Amino acid sequence: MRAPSMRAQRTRRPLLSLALGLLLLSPAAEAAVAMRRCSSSYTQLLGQLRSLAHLMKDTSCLLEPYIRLQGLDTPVLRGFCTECSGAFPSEDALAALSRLAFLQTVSATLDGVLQRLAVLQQKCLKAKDLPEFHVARKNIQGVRNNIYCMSELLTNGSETPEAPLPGTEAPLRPSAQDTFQAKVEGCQLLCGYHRFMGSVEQVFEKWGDSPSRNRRHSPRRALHKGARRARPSRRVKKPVPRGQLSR
Amino acid sequence: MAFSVVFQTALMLALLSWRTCQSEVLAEYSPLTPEGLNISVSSALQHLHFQWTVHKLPYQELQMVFPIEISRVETSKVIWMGNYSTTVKQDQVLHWSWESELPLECAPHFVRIKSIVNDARFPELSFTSNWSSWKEVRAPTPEQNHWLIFPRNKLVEEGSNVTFCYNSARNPGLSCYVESALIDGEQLDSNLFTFTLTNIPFIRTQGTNIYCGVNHTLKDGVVLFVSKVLEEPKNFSCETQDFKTLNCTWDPGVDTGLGYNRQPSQQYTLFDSVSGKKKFCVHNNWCNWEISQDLPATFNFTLTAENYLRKRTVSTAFALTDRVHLKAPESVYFKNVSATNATVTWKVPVFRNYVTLLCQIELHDKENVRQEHNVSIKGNGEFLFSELQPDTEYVVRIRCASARHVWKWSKWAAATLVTAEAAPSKALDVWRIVKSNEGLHNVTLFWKPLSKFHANGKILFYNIVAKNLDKKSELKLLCIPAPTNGTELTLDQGSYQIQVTANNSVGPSPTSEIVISENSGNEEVEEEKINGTKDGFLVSWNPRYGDRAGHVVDWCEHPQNLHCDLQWKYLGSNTTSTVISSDAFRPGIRYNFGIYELSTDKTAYLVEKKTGYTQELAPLDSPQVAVANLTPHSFTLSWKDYDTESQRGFIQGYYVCLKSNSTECHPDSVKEGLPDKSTCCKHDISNPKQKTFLVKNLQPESFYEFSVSSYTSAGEGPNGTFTKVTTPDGRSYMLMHIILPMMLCVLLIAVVCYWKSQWVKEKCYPDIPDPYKSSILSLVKSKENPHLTVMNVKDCIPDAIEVINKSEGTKVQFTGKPLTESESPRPANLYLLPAEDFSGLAPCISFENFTYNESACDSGSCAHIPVPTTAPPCQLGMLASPDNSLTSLENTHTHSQGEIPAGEMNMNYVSQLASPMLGDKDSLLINPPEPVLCSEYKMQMAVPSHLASPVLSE
Repeated sequence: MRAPSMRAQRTRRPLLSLALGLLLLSPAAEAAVAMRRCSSSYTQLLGQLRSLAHLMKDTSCLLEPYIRLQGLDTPVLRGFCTECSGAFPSEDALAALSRLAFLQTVSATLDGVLQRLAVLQQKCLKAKDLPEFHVARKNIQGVRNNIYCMSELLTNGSETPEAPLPGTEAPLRPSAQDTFQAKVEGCQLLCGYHRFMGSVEQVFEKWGDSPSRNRRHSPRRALHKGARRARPSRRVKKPVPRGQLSR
Repeated sequence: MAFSVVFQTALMLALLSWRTCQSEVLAEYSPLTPEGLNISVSSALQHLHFQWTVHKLPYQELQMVFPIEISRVETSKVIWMGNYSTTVKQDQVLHWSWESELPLECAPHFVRIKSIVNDARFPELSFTSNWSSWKEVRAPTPEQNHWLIFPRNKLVEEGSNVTFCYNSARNPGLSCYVESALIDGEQLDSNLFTFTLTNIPFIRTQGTNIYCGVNHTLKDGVVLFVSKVLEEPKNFSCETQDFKTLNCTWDPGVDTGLGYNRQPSQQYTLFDSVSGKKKFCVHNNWCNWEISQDLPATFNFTLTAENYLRKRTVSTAFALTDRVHLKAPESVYFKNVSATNATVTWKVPVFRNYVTLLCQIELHDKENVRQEHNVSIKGNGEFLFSELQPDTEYVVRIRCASARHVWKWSKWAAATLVTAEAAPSKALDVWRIVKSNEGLHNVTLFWKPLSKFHANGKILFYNIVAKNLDKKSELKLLCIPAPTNGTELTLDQGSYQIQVTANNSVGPSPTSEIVISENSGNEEVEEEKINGTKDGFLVSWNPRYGDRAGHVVDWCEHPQNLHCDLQWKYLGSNTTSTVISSDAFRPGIRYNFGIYELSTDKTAYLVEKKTGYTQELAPLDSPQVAVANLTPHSFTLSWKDYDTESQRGFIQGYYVCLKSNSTECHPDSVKEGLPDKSTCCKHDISNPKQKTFLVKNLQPESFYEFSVSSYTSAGEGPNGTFTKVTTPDGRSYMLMHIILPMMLCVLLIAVVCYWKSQWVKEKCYPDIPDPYKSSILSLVKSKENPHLTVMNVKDCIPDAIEVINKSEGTKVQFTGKPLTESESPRPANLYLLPAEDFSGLAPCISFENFTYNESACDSGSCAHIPVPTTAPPCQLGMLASPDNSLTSLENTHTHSQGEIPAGEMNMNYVSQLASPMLGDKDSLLINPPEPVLCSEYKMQMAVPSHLASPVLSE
């Protein structure tokens, strides 16, 4: 059983690199620049990731402007907004993953967020309405670039890649056709995004100062836990119980 | 019984069936009845669209009325009744719409219709049909299981009224909000509520949120999109630059676009009714229209602004030639440019060259528009400028418009024109300063640079020619390169004519001439003070010479500076005053003005000098005061170095402030408080030339403080620091002034005496005294008693010899005892004493016998001479200052001579006494020396007995 497992690991590593590389090739130029400029300092990369996650969890940089723009700043609507979208992996699920799987999960989730933001901006807003959207997208690209570099660093450090949470492979898609529904779903999406980045920051905070693995979860367990905990994210494709108006 | 029941039932059914069939047959065949009623729903517009036909019209067309009834929720609740009148044609499908104020999704609607023939042309056809059956209409709701509020995503214009409904069947206690405001609904049915928003305002492009919830739990919501009212385009106009394209522009007003693509920004369409062409404009404020060359050049444009809710149109009609807005002229060039003329050429890019253009030409220098011209041209333009200024940069601007109708001028096209140089057109303004020095005239020439207007080019150098008027052949030539504005000449005392010209690349300027006379620079004129104001100085003078060509006033604008910036002003011959003003004038600065008269031969004579301030200020500094002639009762203050000329105003006097312990001030001063709460006596010196002050009536040995400050008309200068003076003691002062000269005299005498000591010694006490040679004797003899002679020892019969033992008592007697070998020689004095009794005070003459004193001096005891307590006062005096023995001696001697009357003096021989040296003079006075066991030889002297008694008696 060990030989196939090792073979699988050997084949999985370049695959992971390829997958991450492809994932980060959007936009290709930025990813290429990122790859060329990857820092070899684990501490520096981790510090940047922590800082970015800390910055992006702040609701004042995206959610609050969105709420004000959409006129959702009333007790009832704000309360509904802060029932954040469940389409994001929970902190527990993220913490249970290996570091590479965690990075992959974060990257894939943020990719979905990028797509949702693009749709939200295209359908709901004019470019001049909310400049914070542009900043948020740049930050997400930055995190993903750093994740790529960190993954490269960990992969070279012989850490075994593991499967990401299955729920995050599918992009987060807008479900509502009704304008009001689209408004509040966008609100919940941004709320979930900030909360997700808070969870990501927490997980990064638990990482040691050395690239050597300091905790080890079995891929199966991580997968199991991730799948179980990421189940809400599957609901993204369906009407979201938490986010949808209860009738 | 049963049969009858069955029969009755069958009969009833048959009757019903017949009735039904009958009615159907009647309906089917009833003429002019509405048929095929079809109702469609437009939820967004909340419209019900009716569609029906009327079959079998007896005529081609018939005027008919269709009563319509609409019920809501149930047929019995008729909410609307109305008639639709129209002319019905054969086989025509009739349409009619009804708009519901309530969203159609809120409740089912029921509709029925009938027809009435009401055509006056055919009165026989008067007919009313039956009502059609009720037709139920329900608006489609794709997710009606979830949606509670209607209408969804409604788009209205600002100021509209909108009615909403919500269903609370599944959510008891449902509350609805508009934004954050709770709305009270009106119950329409058991679970159906409605509310109406009136005069709805625009809040945001993202729509107004209307939502319902139970206990702050959101259940459903809708967005009401409120559009701003579309405005009519403003300032709509079209114009062409090239006759190929019309450019139409307008002000679009507010953007009515909304978020979520609910309503895009308004669209604009351009329609030309002449050509029948239409164009959708991409931009919201301008649109281009291609001009067809084969069509008449007239247009009638309609601009339509349109959004989902409204259309707005504006129109304009014009001929193309009336809407020509040309492009700016091109290829603006100059030719034949001279110092005063130039020709400008240009082109106008016009598609049709046959159009006559009107062009405006402006000639600017750096400040203003110098020339303006209007030129009518076809195609290329050309214009000749004249009366230009040499060496001047001009900007030529040209713009054109259609000459037929000036719709708009083109933009300006500009080009720079620089004219050629010409010789300077004006003589230099020259002035001079003349200083005479050792038979020479140092002449400093100044001239003002020519203005650009007069220079006519760049001044390259200045030529200066100095001609000696006395020696015509003598010339001095100087060439000063620009931009120098002056030079210095050294001329002899003769008269000189100086000519100055400015030269540019074309030639020289007219000559400026000035004459330096022999007396120039030597004029003695008294300076007069004048008062200036902030606007300057009014300088006036009295004409002095009859034959004059004019006046010149000169002054320095910055008199404190090394280069004082000499300024001058030429004035007419009859002028006797002028106002000199300058931005450089500052308060507190003294300005000096010289007024010159110019003779007809250009010689300048200084006639008056003025000096003044635009505004006098208080002095900036106080005098530095020196103290002199300090006495116990006075001292003198002096500040001769204080420069009054450089002060910030004319010095009018000085204040001397004197502080003393005395509380009263001298009558010529006033008491004044000082900032430190002390007081001083203030003396006012009103003469500015007085720079000394005698402070008198002071107390000796007293402490005084003083300060001196100057003052001008603007006030007093800063109080100087107080200088401390202590008057000296009066007695010591006197002593210093009396005793010191006396001491000097005594010292001088002592020196003389010392110098003559040998002579005195030989005269008074030679080593071996020879009584016959004694000058004393001779002196006494000659003055007092010429009969006195030297007593011969042989002639004396000693009556007693007493050996004196000094230790035995204080009694001193003359004893004859020889000097033993063991005894050191003692200083001995020769006294002229009374022989019998010398205990009393008596004048005496004593001579120190240095012959017996050598060894004693060797032992260092010369200064201490033992003296009996009964020694006479003169002896004590001598003892007190042994160094002054000679002086004392002389004094004593002199005194004796003066006090002893001639003829009464008797001479006694007193033994030469060798006394031991004991103690100092004080102890000598208090404790008489102990007698030593020794024998002393006393030379006995003959003392006239009468010599002592008168002294004693005194």
